[in-house]
Amino acid sequence: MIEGFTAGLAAFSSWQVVAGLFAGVFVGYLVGALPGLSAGVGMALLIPFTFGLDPVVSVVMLIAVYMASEYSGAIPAILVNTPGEPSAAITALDGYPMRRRGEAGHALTLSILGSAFGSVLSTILLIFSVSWMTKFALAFGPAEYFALAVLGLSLISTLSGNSIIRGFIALLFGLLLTTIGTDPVDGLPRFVFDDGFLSGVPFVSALIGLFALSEVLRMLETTDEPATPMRDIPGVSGQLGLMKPHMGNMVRSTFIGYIVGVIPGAGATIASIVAYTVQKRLSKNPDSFGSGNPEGVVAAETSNNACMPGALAPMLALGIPGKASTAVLIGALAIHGVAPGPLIFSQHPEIPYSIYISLLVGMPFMVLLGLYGTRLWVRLTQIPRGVIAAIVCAVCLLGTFSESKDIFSIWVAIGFGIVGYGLSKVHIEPAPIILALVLGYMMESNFRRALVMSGDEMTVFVSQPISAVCLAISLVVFVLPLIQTVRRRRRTSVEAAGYPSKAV
Amino acid sequence: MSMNLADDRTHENTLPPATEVTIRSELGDIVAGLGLAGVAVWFLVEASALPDYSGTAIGAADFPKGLAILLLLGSLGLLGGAVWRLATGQAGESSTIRRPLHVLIGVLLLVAFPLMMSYAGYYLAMGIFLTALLYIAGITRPLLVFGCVAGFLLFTKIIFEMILQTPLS
Repeated sequence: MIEGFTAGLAAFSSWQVVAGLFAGVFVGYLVGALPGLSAGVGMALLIPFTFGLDPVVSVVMLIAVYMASEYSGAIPAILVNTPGEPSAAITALDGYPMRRRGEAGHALTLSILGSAFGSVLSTILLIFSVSWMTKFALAFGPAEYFALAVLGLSLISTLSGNSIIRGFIALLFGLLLTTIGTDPVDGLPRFVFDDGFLSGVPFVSALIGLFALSEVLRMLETTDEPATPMRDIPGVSGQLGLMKPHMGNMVRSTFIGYIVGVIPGAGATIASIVAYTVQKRLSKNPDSFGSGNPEGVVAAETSNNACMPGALAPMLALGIPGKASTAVLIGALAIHGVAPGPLIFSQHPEIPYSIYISLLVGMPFMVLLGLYGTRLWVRLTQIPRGVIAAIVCAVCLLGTFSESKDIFSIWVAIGFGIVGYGLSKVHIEPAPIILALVLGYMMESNFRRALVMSGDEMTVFVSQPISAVCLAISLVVFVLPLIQTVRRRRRTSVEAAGYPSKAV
Repeated sequence: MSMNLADDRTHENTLPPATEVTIRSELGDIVAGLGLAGVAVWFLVEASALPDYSGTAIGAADFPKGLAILLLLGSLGLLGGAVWRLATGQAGESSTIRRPLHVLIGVLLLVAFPLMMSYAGYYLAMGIFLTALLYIAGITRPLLVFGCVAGFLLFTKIIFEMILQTPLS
């Protein structure tokens, strides 16, 4: 670990890495403060700018965007009741009533210091848990990797969105798309209806299309909506003493955020909801939650920022993206020829340790920008939506073209953008498709390698304890919600028929 | 499907007033179900035509075949659920597309961009595309449009061509 940190610190001695960190935090604030743009969209848009950069600079920039956008979503949530990030909606529950009471400065200070605490403590948890997970993962063979991919995908499909069947369909659609291109074992071209697909569906184009271009089309629906007026902008100050009464809340919310972050599919919004609910139950004033209780702001912000390092744990140790933002990171690293997983610590130690260092070093800069840049971030929310939509669209097209210098990739991005927009109208979210695009190759290649190595013995997946446990959990994850849905429907129909239902 | 004419709240835009298209979720599910089932069938047919050189139990065609069958089942489930809701008169959530004309023009502009780029090159195509998209998005003040377009093209030139040395033309 010491050697790894030395390699990471050596990378940080370069001015490009430090500049990348600062630029990333700044862009992250910008993305987070603008409603409609999420961390994943911001990171996808930034990828084209990182092609020509060193892999460490590239990953540090993207991590800084991820970290800063998770926090800055709270600024418009507190000040104008418009969450910049979905997870900040929970922050708005108490942050906005505090602002209406004239306590906006207090709410902003609590939110940024809570975020900083959650992020730093969670990064420390990440450093220790990843080294443990990596040792464990080094013993994995193809069967275990296949089972792990199945487990990750099963959690993602059931946790994303309200409908299991829609999550499942999105996942299968994404997995099927990964079979386009050259077969991973035999080298046979499959479903290649254009030469551009020989090496598979271009990931960056698909990512930009599904995430960002589809969002542009959604933005075009609302470009006539006026920006929320902001009459006065409060001053904030970094009074650390304000956090003293919230220490227990912050530690608890950090652990909740970290654990939720590690689970594939469960994102910052779920972390915020869980931490907020737990804090409400433990609070001496539970009734004041939702009407401006500072404990709610601290719980929501601490947990959603602690969630981010948690999401990096399975990505770094196992190469499994738990959510769309980490899938974007894996895609960015793949462009530079770096594959996350246990071997990254021996082959490219500067990458994971640069991530740790950027999370820790970037935090003071993020706090300063948050505390003293409020005026700027709030002004951003006043930019006409039409300008944001058009510029984001132009960056998408520029980014896709600059990656391959080929117009074909623009066609792919546009195709995915239109499909993503259409699917979102039937409540099929793009995130499982993106995650499947990353995990599909790993899943198929390990499945087939395991069979080749075992002489076509299907029992190889259940005879190894780790893969057997992973597959059993996947089965439970799939079946349990279905049983709950059937029970709920039965109860509803019994109640609708006028019979009292059994207490559960 | 229903269409409601509503007042356009855009002060600058001279396009027709904003409309809303509300689609019943069942109809959306039927369209999506059919489309995805079509994709699954295409993969199944193409996979059946793939040769098997592997000599193992699971060849190049088998994995996509399995996925295509599962996707077919899933999309038929979506389709069946929608038909059942229609038949039993159960109303599901509806989906709304606001300003469909603007969205449609946006899609057409997107499709036109790569075609334009093949003939006119990056800078001219992007200039025309961005101007038109800004107009569609309700930004019609000439100075603001010019500022956005010129600013973006300058940004492209400096960041991509000069700093990152990525040729665009």
